[in-house]
Amino acid sequence: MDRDSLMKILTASALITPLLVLFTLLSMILWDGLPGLSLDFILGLPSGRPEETGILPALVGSVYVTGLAIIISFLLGLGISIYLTEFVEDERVRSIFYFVVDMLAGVPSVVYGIVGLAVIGIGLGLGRSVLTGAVTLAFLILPLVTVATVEAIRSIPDSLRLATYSLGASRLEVVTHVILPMALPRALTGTVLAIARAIGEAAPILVISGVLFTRSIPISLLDEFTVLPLVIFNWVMRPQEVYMRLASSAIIVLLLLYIGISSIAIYMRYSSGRRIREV
Amino acid sequence: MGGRPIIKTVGLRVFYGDRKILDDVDIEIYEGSITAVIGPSGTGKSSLLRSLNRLNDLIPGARVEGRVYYRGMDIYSEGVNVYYLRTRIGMVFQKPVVFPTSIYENVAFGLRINGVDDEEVIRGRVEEALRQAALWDEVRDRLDDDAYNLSTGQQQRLCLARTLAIRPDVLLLDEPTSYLDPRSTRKVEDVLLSLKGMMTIVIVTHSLSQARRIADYLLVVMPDEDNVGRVIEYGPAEEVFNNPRDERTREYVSGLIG
Repeated sequence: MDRDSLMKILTASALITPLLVLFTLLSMILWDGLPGLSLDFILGLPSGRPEETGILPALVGSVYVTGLAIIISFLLGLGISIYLTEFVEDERVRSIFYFVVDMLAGVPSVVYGIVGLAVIGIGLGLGRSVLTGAVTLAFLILPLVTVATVEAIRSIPDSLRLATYSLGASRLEVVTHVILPMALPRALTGTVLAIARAIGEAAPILVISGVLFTRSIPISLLDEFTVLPLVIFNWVMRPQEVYMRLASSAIIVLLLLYIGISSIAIYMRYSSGRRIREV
Repeated sequence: MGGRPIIKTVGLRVFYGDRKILDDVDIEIYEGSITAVIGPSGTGKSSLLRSLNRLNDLIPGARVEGRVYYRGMDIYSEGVNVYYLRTRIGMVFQKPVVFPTSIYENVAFGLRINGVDDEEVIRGRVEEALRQAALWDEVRDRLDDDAYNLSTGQQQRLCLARTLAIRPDVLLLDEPTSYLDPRSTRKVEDVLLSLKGMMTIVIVTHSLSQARRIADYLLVVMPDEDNVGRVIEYGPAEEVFNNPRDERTREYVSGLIG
């Protein structure tokens, strides 16, 4: 065998291995979970009897907390990155901020949960609420969102900025007329990745909410809540096989939810922004 | 030299970080004329241009010393409305800078930024500017097309139109034809010649033949022994071409250096 085909086989197997793992995982989950998946399960309240149980409170909790977290961190991340790229003039100050953002991305998620509970839940008195969970998750994904948004803004050529200034635009007008519309598509791409992270997090929510089983659906921002990953975590810890199957069904719902929310972001990406080309 | 000075620089120096790139520029630009700035690359010609509309303020590390007067007003003094100043002193760049919108919106862009919101007025000004830039006949039926679909030469005239739409008093052009083919170049030159008199034009160019074709005045910038750009010659174009006072100008215009 010549070297080129050896290289080809090696790189191809690097690609195939994770695909196989993913395929195996998915098929196991679908095999276990699909039979138990029904409207009664998705829209039902939890019950002590596994055959009658449902996941509605956790599903609502997940949508509520993740949705809020994404909105909060997107707005915050947009603000941070516009400030860093358009208003901070000193390159050193800027790189310190980038370093801090990178460091935040490396903090274990459970630490966010502990700090979130201490500062927001107890310190600000918001308790173990939807709002506490959402703000905590927002900070957890903030580095992802910020890095993507900063990259998006930096990819806008300076020539467009200068041309806009040369027409008499102020900084604010450059931001609203050029930076925002042009950075939005790529910033939303980064946000899609952040959604995946936020929707699957169990550890920080476990610290903040602590609720594994609840029959009440969160409505107000200050209500207690649980999320799908916690319900799944609760079920897989149990020895009975029936709970394994329930967990698989809940995982399918979680995956569908992820696909749903991501599709919204991807749709916004294609309908909102403008692509830039250079000569 | 004739004409009324509209821009006057006194002891203008431009720095980039710690490095001085332009020193001791004392010139007067005459109203309604075309002044061509020529000289080898990297001698601060673009920096000179950008200090006339304070665009250097936005270049990280760039610093301007000395005085620049526009119609008698020191544009670097405190309290100057730099945004308004830039609408009076417009600029066109080397590469066509096209915004990812339609042809129409590209020209309307500067008007919208400056608070013009009467669509009737905007439509009129867009047509006027496109006519001035000799682009109207080529795009009148497809104003809503993506501006990226235009050829490079058309894009540059679109940029010209965008600047003209806000009716500047002075037009600065930084090597506007260096990405264009000879035919498109000639079109841009014809546009500039037709604008002469209506506004004052300062054009940085690499092309001596272009300077010969359009310039009333010629300003030659050369690096000194420390590689700092200096104006070594300034006068009516004909005179500078035929009777340069400086030996380096003679060599440059005859193609021996540069």
